[in-house]
Amino acid sequence: MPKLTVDGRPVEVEAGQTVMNAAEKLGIEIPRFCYHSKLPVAGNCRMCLVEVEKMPKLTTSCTTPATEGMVVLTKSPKVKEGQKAVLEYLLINHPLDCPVCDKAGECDLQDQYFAFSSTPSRMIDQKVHKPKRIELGPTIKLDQERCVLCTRCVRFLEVYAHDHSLGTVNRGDRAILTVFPGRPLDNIYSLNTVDLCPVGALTSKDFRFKKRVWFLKNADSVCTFCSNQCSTVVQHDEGTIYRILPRENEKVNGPWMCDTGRLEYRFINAEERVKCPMVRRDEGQERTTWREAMEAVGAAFKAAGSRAAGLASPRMTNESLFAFAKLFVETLGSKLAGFVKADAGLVEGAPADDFLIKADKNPNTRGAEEIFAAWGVEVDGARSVLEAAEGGKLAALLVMDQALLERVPNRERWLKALAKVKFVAVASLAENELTRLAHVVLPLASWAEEEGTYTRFDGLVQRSWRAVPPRGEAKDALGLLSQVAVAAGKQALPLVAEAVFKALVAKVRCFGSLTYAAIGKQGAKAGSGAATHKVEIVNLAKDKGAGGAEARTW
Amino acid sequence: METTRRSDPAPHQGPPPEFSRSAVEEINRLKLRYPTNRAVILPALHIAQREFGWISDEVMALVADVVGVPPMDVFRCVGFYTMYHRRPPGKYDVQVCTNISCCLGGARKVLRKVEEKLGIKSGGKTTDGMFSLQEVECLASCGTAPVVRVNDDFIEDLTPDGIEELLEDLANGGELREKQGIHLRGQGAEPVVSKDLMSEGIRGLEGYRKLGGYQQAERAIKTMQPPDVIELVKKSGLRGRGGAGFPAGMKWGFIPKESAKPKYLCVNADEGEPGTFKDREILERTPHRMLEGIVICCWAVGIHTAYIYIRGEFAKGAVSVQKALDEAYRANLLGRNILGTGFNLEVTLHQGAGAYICGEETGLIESLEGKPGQPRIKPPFPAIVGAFGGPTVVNNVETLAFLPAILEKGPEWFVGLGSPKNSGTRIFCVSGHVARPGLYELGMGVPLRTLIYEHCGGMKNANKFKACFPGGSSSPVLTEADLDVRMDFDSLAAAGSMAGSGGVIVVDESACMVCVAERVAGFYHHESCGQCTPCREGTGWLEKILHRFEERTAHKEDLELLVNAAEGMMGRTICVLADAAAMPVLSIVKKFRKEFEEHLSPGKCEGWGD
Ligand SMILES: Cc1cc2nc3c(=O)[nH]c(=O)nc-3n(C[C@H](O)[C@H](O)[C@H](O)COP(=O)(O)O)c2cc1C
Ligand code: SF4
Ligand code: SF4
Ligand code: SF4
Ligand code: FES
Ligand code: FES
Repeated sequence: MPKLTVDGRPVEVEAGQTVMNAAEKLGIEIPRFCYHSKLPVAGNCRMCLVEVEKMPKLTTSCTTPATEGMVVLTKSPKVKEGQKAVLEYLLINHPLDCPVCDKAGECDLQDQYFAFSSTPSRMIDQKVHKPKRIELGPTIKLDQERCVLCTRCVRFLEVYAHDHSLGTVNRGDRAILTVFPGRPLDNIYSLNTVDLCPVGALTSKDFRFKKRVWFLKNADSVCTFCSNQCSTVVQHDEGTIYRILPRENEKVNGPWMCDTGRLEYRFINAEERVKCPMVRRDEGQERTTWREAMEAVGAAFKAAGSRAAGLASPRMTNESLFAFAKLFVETLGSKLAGFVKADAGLVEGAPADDFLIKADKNPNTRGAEEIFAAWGVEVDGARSVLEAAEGGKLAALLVMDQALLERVPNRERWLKALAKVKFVAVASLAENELTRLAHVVLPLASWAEEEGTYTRFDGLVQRSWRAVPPRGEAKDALGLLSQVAVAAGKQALPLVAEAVFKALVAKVRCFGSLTYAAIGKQGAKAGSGAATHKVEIVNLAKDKGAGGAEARTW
Repeated sequence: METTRRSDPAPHQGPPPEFSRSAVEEINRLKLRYPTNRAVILPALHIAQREFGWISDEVMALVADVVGVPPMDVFRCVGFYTMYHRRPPGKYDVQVCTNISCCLGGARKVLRKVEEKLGIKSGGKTTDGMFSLQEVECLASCGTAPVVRVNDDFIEDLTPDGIEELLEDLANGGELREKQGIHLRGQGAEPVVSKDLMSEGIRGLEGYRKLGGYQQAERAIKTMQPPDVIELVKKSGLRGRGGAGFPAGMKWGFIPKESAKPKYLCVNADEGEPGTFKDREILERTPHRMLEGIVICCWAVGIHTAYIYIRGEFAKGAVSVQKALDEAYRANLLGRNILGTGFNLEVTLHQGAGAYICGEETGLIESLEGKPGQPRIKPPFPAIVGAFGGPTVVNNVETLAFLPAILEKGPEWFVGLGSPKNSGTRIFCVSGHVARPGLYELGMGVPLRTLIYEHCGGMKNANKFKACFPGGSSSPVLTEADLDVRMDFDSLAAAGSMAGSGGVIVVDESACMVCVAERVAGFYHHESCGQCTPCREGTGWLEKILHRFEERTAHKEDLELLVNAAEGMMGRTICVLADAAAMPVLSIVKKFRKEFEEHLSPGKCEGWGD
């Protein structure tokens, strides 16, 4: 464990760590472009220069091993001069299209240029020109002029996605980042490279020119498209979501997420959303008011008595699932409730891999199982509902989420059975087969429009904050369930997620004594909080060539 | 100026390319010579170019498939190495060297003649498909400059008339034949490596054996313990002749005795430093001397696998080395159980494909592994983690060629041939404006004045001496005031320059130092591997600023800018190529500032004195 000092402050790091690591441990920021804590070291940008006592030249902190007794200066005049020179070389051929560049506002090059007091360019010669607006693949455009050839994108794809699509080709200032001719970058993790890119060379086609980043507001959220539950940030403005980024969480996803999780937000903004309640009349479905819709629901559920049933979704939050179970078991006195899992094989999108994506595409299967068990709902509750429906024994059914039956192998059987139910209410985001057979359709808020927690497969409970208000007249699940209770002539259910969570913790043993405060932004386990997501990083500076066939140059 | 020597790829036409059966077999055989498939990319691309004439996208994909690597790995190599054609070259691909020594010898005139004759510029091809033209960097024929390479053949000592004749002859169906000039021009009292080069017929094994060849290797394996060989080489004070002058015995001593991974020797036969042309001569004319050195080195260090990384342009050298390897294998001087001693050694010839940076030892290793030759971050040094992850010795051809004689005559003898701490002789490669340019094997420490005025017959046309790069174009220039400097590692370092690779480029008063500086910068711009920011962007910037001086469009402030731009690159990069570009430029600006100032106002300069 070498001890050293950085800018006069002592620090101890593990053997094999670099000067950069030591500085980071002290919270000292060293400018960098190619270094990234989650990638093998490349050492090519030369920006992270520091001064080390007894070394005649400046050295790059990301490649220099920290050794016992080292005295490191990160802000000396000599260091500043060196970094300023490197920055100047980076800029001489840079197009400086900041006014039209999507990265503006979150660009490392722009920030560094600013930090180094923005001296005017001394470059009066013709710049090296390279191709712009290249279609790299379905998700990304590349501007080779803006690229600083840091190879972060290349390293990410090779190490994490085992994808060799990207590479640097040609020598000297003719070098470019590119794909093999005719073989686009088509990888489910491709958009992580856009986050990694320190400049505006890689841009997301989905986000290009949609919004200047400084207008965006952030809401911390959780991805609900598979059971990995990546921590995310939903970026929005005036009720519209513009993009979703991974939010660094060592316990879950590191700083990464998959493209499905990033891009599936688009339906939330979609015009086709169900925005107001609808009731079935002879001529089909008609728009109506919440009051009228709930009157129909209330009448049906009152009449149904114990022949009322409910189907929930493991995409719902812990709180909504708790309220749902409470509604049926306690309020309505029906044990006919269950949740329907989307079947992995039927969900479009990538199958499970060794990185993030999990086979179970339901974010909250674990939460649903534990909460329902605590309420005494049988494990196979959905099957009982199905059989009751088939036997014509159901008088009223509430389905939370219209997509519930889209991805089950026995979809046809379900639809046939539900057609026999006297009254079906579907809480939904969009219209589909199921809403068409419903008697009442209730507009439901999406995951980004409500607050709540999810339980990951490993028991980690994560919080998701509301990013945007529900579309149109949609209600979040808690509000909707409470309305059903009231309509059925019972007491309203709690509407505030945190209050529901408190009740949940009191009832569902395996949540221990968790609180919203304890969960925080990074999530917490009822028991221990052991990390579950770990990716081995090979230090290439050290290992370059050591792996024989596996060792690669960046 | 900015000569884009790589053009956009031509589209593939016709049915998908297929390798011949023998090509596939050859590639599969090659895979057995390397620990990874990836290392076969460069050789496989050479085979592909032989079969298809050029490398289309489809051929790259085919190579990836046959070698068993991702297509991007192949693409990166094709983009990095200049010898892979991305479009069909002419029947005769004319490569005119326009590096310093050739320019000093009149290469510009030769180039103009070719352009005029063929009606095309660099990068172009005649409409009848007969000729394509490229400007290329130093071809290691600087003593017989100017030189043009047509396909694989060197045509040396060219004149504008000579090239005109050649092109006409080829156009009329004449046969292409290599025409070499005289390379070795002089020897001191006791030549060592060039000993057998003055006489003919020494190329083969038999000839070399008659001179006592391979006796020392045999003696070492049979009678000496490896540590004793290392000790002896340490005592001899042999320093590397590749550039850095690092003591060879000490380098071998860094190699761990026990290693989980195989140890390797990489022979640096990439000779690319402008002004240097000695290794080519050894490779072509006395390869067995180098091979014997390889056996001795491998025995001393406990290495069983060696690769000779030979510059791609050295086609003839490759043939000669391969022939020597075949002979040595047949005579059981290589291979399994050498001469019944139980010692095994496999030696493989590996051809580069056009990239100066592959002479840098870690660039060489990367290239050997089938990647672009982008130097590695050090530490770890190759002695610990080198080729294919194993401890690796990298030695220059000439360094190794000294070993048999050192073993034969003893370390004290070798020490006596040179100056203190700079043992032995070395082959000086003298080019430029001297009366008799060529190779001279002389004791280390010979004064520059003696080298030029005694051995080389003085300055060409008895012109006045102006400047000299004493150790390749990376070395800071010397002026008349330095003529008495001793030509060894330590004395030249003390004089603010370096002995480097032994490439002595002499410039007389007829040449303009601004033009020289511009060409130096242009070379490093062309060769920068493009990894690190200061070198990738800075080398081109230097060339652009210098070009404005040459064109007389520079401003007064540009002198300071030039110095700043050069200084800013130094000591901040992964390898020292950036310093190699900056140092000579800075030295020229410092020592010939007046010439730069003169270029600030309109006028005409001497150019290249041609
Ligand atoms: C840019 C660059 C180019 C080099 N080119 C060569 C070369 O062409 N041949 C060579 O033997 N060494 C070259 N070297 C030196 C090698 O890195 C290395 O020091 C040498 O091969 C070691 O062998 P030696 O100790 O026998 O000289 C070059 C170094 C640099 C930095
Ligand atoms: S595209 Fe971006 S991340 Fe990739 S090498 Fe260029 S600058 Fe780096
Ligand atoms: S891996 Fe799963 S949780 Fe993570 S972003 Fe993708 S779909 Fe969402
Ligand atoms: S200094 Fe130049 S040649 Fe050397 S590694 Fe950096 S970019 Fe490549
Ligand atoms: S951050 Fe260290 S060299 Fe790029
Ligand atoms: S061969 Fe032309 S300069 Fe060396």
